Amino acid sequence: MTTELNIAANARNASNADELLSFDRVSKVYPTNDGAVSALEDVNLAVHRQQFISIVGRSGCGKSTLLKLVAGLYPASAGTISIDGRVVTEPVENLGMVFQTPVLLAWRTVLSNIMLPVEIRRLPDRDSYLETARRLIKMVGLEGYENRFPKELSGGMQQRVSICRALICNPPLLLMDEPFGALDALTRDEMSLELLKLWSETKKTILFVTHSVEEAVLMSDRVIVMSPRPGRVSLDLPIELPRPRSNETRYVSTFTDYTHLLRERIYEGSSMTG
Amino acid sequence: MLKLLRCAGRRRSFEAGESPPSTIAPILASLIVIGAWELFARFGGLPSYLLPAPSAVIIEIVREKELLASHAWATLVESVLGLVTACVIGIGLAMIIVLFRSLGDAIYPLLVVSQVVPKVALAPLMIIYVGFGLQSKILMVFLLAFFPIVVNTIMGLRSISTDLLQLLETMKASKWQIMWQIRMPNAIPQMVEGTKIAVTLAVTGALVGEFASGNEGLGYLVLASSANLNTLLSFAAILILAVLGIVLFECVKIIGNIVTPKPLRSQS
Repeated sequence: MTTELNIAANARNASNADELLSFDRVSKVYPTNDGAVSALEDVNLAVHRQQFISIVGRSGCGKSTLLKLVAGLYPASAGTISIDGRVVTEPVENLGMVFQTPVLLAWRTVLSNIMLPVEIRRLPDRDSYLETARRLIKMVGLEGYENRFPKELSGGMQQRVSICRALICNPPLLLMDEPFGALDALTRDEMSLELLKLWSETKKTILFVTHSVEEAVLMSDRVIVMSPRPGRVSLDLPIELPRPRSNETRYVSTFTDYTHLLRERIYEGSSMTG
Repeated sequence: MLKLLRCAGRRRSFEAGESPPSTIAPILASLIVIGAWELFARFGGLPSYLLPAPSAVIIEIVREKELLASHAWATLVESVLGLVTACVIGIGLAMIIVLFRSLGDAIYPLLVVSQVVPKVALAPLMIIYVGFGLQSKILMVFLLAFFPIVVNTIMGLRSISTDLLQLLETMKASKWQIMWQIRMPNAIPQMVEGTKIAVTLAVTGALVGEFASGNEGLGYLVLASSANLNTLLSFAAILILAVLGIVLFECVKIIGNIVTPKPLRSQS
């Protein structure tokens, strides 16, 4: 009990004005029928405000678990996570979440899907949120689609709606779990650049889980490589490519150096090097 | 061979709900059956009190239209009241089962067991409990109709993705908010499907109730006229019953379409 308290106190001490999110020796163990499975082990991480952080790694390295721990959806087995100096002990309220599928409500229009968090949380001043929603819709290029239903939109457009919904309450932190994973390659490239633009305009802190090394390097300030079973941070690589970044960034020689280095680390210890 | 393949392809697209079914084939098939029946009844050598011809049945319906209408009205009222009761209680029960998991786990097996009991056998008991009147028929309709509504509604209420539930958790959504704003609208199509199954059972329920007691309704009419070897009137009543069933089914379909939000309708 005392050690737990100490850890919590340490986490609070460690957080300074510039730090939004911190992991302090976080572990997560899942009980299964074949015994306990360790999904995350001793993860230490500090994320600064307005940083764009990507997490890459092979399947089963605990990337998604990491995001769900941040959201407070599962408790950590050991260690503490704090957002803005406050230890996460229950689902975090003002947080943007985007999943691989857009999870929109089919019977609600684009605008009312985006307004869902405002309605569920019963926030006052609905009109100002409606205004925010319209501004977000404009930002992601969905003007004129406010009253359409999700099934009338393409996959990319649906995912844009779900990003707007994540941003409606102006959360400081945006958690994205392979948001472009279900899109085709061209839409995916387009969406990455759009997200970058949105990020620079809204000044959010983004934690972005992806399978694509290129996507991670193109967008991030830092790329975290995780190794599987148990999930650990195996590399924390700052990406020092100039901003604003565009498709041209992909052809810079350092871009390839970064992707090469990351791939090497991801496949380390397996036969699939390269 | 090629033709056969194309045919198979077309059937698949129909199953996916893309092209509407042809109306000519079923009409033709019905006409052939009715025609064969007419010929057999007239020239088959059977006495007409055993198998009346379709044309004779139609003439009987026109002749006895007032009698049939009053009995059909009684059956209609019983079926509709029983079905509405089944919808209200069925949907309510499904909500409780989904909202309170442990209570649901306790109730659900009982529900299944209640379906294994042949409900027709309960009809005489219903009379003891609620009397000979309308209530015993409504209760019978309810007993037959509510199960498909409960099962379908539960399925609809539960078909929410984990991602969506987690998203709602980060919005601090309450159980009741999730029920009213997410689960209920999401379940409407399944509720309608359950009610479609229930409506055909509802008419059967009303008939069973009428067989057991009372002196009105098409079920009573079938029973009474058969006892007098008035097969013509029996057939007339059965035909009206079939029409009643189809009309009720179509009504449920139309109402279902109205209450289903447009984007959730299978065919827009």
